Order: sequence, then C-alpha cells, then structure tokens
Amino acid sequence: MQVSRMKNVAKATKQHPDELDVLHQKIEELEKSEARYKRTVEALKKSEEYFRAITQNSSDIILIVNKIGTITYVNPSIERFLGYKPEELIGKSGFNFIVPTDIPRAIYDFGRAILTKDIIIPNSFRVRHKDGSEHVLEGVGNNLLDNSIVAGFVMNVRDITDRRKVEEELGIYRKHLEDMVEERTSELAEMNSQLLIELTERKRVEEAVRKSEERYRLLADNAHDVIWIVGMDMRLIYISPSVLRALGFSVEESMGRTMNEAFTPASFEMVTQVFAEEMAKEASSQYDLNRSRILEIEMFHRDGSIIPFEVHYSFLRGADGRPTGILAIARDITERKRAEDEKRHREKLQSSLEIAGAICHEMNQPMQIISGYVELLMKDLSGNHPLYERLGAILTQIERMSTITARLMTIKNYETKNYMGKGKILDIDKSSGNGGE
Amino acid sequence: MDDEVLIIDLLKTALSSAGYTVLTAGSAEEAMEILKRESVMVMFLDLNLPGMNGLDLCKKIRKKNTIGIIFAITGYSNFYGLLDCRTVGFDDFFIKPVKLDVLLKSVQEAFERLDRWAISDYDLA
Repeated sequence: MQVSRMKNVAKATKQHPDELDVLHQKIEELEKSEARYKRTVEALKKSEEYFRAITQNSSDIILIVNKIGTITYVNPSIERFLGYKPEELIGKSGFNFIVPTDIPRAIYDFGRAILTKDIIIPNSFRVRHKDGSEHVLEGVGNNLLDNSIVAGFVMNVRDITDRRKVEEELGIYRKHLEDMVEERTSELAEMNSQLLIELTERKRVEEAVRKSEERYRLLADNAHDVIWIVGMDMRLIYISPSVLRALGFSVEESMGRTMNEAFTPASFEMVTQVFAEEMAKEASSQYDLNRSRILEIEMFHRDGSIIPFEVHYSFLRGADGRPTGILAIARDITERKRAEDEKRHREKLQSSLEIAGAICHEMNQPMQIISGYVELLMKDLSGNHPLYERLGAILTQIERMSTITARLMTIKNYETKNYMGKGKILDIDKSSGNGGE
Repeated sequence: MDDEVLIIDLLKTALSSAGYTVLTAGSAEEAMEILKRESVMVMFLDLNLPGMNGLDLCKKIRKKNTIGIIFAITGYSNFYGLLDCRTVGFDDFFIKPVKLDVLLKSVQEAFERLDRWAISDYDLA
C-alpha cells in the first residue's frame, strides 16, 4: 500500500503542481494522524493487553452476566476454582451453577442488584464445582448494564471454601476453646474457692502452729530441765537457755560444742552405743514409734566439775515416721544423787549397826559368863588373897567392854574418826543413842 | 531360864549360895513344864531363845500368875525392847553383862516385896 501511494504521488505531481502541494499537505496531515492513531491504538493495545493480562491472570474470578444472569464473560481463573474453562460457561446461566438451596436467595439478591447502579454489593453463594464438590464463592457485584461497553453485571468473586472451612474450623475450635475456657473457668472458680478455703484453713493452722510453737518454745526456753534436739548427724539444733544455769555455758557456746566435749567419755560412749542400738531397732521395723530411753549421764560443767543428769531420750519423727532428730530432756540429778548416796550410806550404816548389835548380843553372853564366874571366884577368896586384885582387874575390863557394847547397841546418830590414817571408823564417844551420849 | 548352860550354872551357883531354891530350864517349853508342877514367884527369863522367845513365855506365865516377879535378862537391848518387856508383864529388865550383886539385890528385894504383900496367905497354886 505504501508503494502504490508513492507511485500515485509521483504521477499526480507531474499533472497538478498546486494541487500537489495541497495533497502533500493533506498527506502529511494524514500521515501525522495515522501516526497518532497508531500510537493511540498501540497504547490502547498495550493497555488492553495489560488489563487482559491482569484479568486473565487475576487470582480472583471476574464474571460478567447480562440482565437475565447469562454469563457473557469469565476469566480463566474460573477453571482453577470450579474446574470449568471459560468457554464451557459463556452463554450459560450463572444460576445453573449455584447450589439449589441457595438459588432463591441468589435470584432475589440479583433482582435487587440490577436495580442498583454504581454500588458495590458484597455477597456469597455456594457453587457446585465441576467435580460435584461444593465451593463457597464470595465477592462483590457492580451493575454496569447501562455501560455501553460492558453492558453487564460485573462480579468479582473468589473461592473462600478453604477460608470458610478454616473459619468454620476456627469457629469450632473457638467454641471448643470457649467451652474449655468456660469449663476451666468454672473449674478455676471452684479451685479458687477451694484454695481460698484451704488458704484460710492453712492460715488458721499456721497461726495455731505458730502459737503452739511459741508456747512450746516458751516452755522449752523457761524449763528448768535442759532440753536439746540433735539431728541424725548428731549436730545440735536446739538447746534451751537453762543450759546456762545447769552447765555454765550459754546457748551460743553450747551450740559450738561437740558431743564428746560436752559428755564425759563414759557417758559419750554409752550415748553412742544406745543410739546405735536404737537405730538397729529402727532398721528391724519392729519397734514402738513412741518409745524412749532414760539414761543417767554425766556432763562437764564450765567450771570443770561433772554434773549428773537423767536424760529422757526420744526420736522426733517426720510425717513418714522416720526419725528426723533426737529430743533430749535432761534433769540435773546432783541433789537426787546426793540424797541417794546419803540414803545408801545410811542403809549401809544401819545394817552395820544391826550387825554390830547382833555381835554385841553375842559378846554379851560370854562377857556375862566371864564376869559372873570372876565374881563367884572373888566371893570365894578373901580380900587379901593375891588373886583377888587380879580377878578385880578382869572384872573392871569386862565392865569396860560392857559399856562399849551398850553404847554400840543404842547408837542412832554417828560420827566417824580416822583410824590410823587407813580409813574411817565409828567414833563411839561422839555418836549418840536414845539413851543420851 | 536361859539356853546357855554356863549362864544357868552361873546363876544357879550364885543364887543357891545366897540361900535360894533354884529351878532351871534350858528352853521356854521346859520352863512351862516346870511351872505346871511348881509354884515359882521369882523368875529370870532370857529373851532371845530358840523356839518360843522370852516375851511370849512371859505373856503365857502372866495369864496364870499375875503376882510373881519376872525379870528379863537379855544380851540385846533397845528402848523398844524395854517397852515390849513392860507390855508383856516383865517387872524389870537387865542387860548382860550384869553384875551378880545387882541380880542378888533385885532377888532379895523381890522376896521382900512378896513378903510385904503376904502372898503366902493366899493359895495361889
């Protein structure tokens, strides 16, 4: 076409030089116009391609129906969602693909929509996939029936089946969560009220225990007896302040002393042995949980003297019954010991005196015989007989002996005297009986 | 009455020498036998004896003889012993060894007392 126009131009130029100029001008204008057109068409083409590309490749479904619902355009995305190619759908009624139960509503909504103009209407329908499965499409519709180019109802929809499914699942899950929360909440509420009760009770018990502890501590702290607790490792855990009065050591000082510092070696050995025996009983599983042992032990006073104690030992036990410590309640028995010693001494003396009395009785018999026969002999002799005086001496000594035995038999309070530096003997002269000296 | 032969011999010798009639017994039972036959108004009883002791013997004698003078003579003495002796009816209480003169004097006094009471005027047997 370009070549033929060039041939015509050359021919005309030769025939009409003025016209030729006009023609040239016209041609030039035409050429310019054509160029503009080309550019416009080019631009439009590009634009169209651009929109087509967008439409064709849109992930959403773009659907245009006419006023009776016949599909006039659908982009290829439809296949991805519903399994149909656009050409299978164009010319068919959109209502064919809606799930029957949703059709009345779809018709009603569509009827209303085509009466509106330039309003974007959101909606959603259940649509049948080519494979028969049900999909949920949601979208917006725009009535462009009056638009001469489009002349249709444009719908922009997307498949929200998965989203709906997820939403439903989420809903179920949320419901479940809510139920759980509610359940938990009621459980929590119950637990909470129980906790509150428990807490109150615990506080009350705690208070009672604290008071009881205070009371016991007060008792322990003010006891005359020395009370101590040692752990199973034999370390001192508690000792009552009475230790100061009993042993001269303060509580702090006592805490720093070891058992073999506190006890005499013999007592330490005894206590250790008894502990071993008791632990063996614990292991044998045949034992009385509340048993206790009473031991007489000796402990060192700060001044170095030895103080005798009667100690009541028992195990402290945990909730499981196993021993957790040893409780000792010790009483200073110095006075008692002294009284006991005194009593023992008195008893010993009493029996000695009884023996002495019995001996005296036995002695008195022969003394009676000797003194009696001496008296008889002296009666037979005259006062100037050489033997009379000697018999008199015997009688005097018998009398002396009789005085001693008589005193010995009536002694109640006694005193002793040293006997040649080898011990003590009864001092008969200083001892007294019921008959006086 | 005494379980010790030498004591019996001693007292018998001393009292006989003083002119008294002396009956002797080595036990409470023997003494009871004699008292069944004889009227004895002055008696010396040892307290500590095998078998029946002097206190019980005295108690028995006193049931029949409330006038006779009974002396306890013992090697063992205490205040309670004296009380016991008085309770069962002893008139006096001597602790061995006792001087023969003391015994003779008390026997003499006893007979004087019995004479004063003129007990021979009564039939005590």
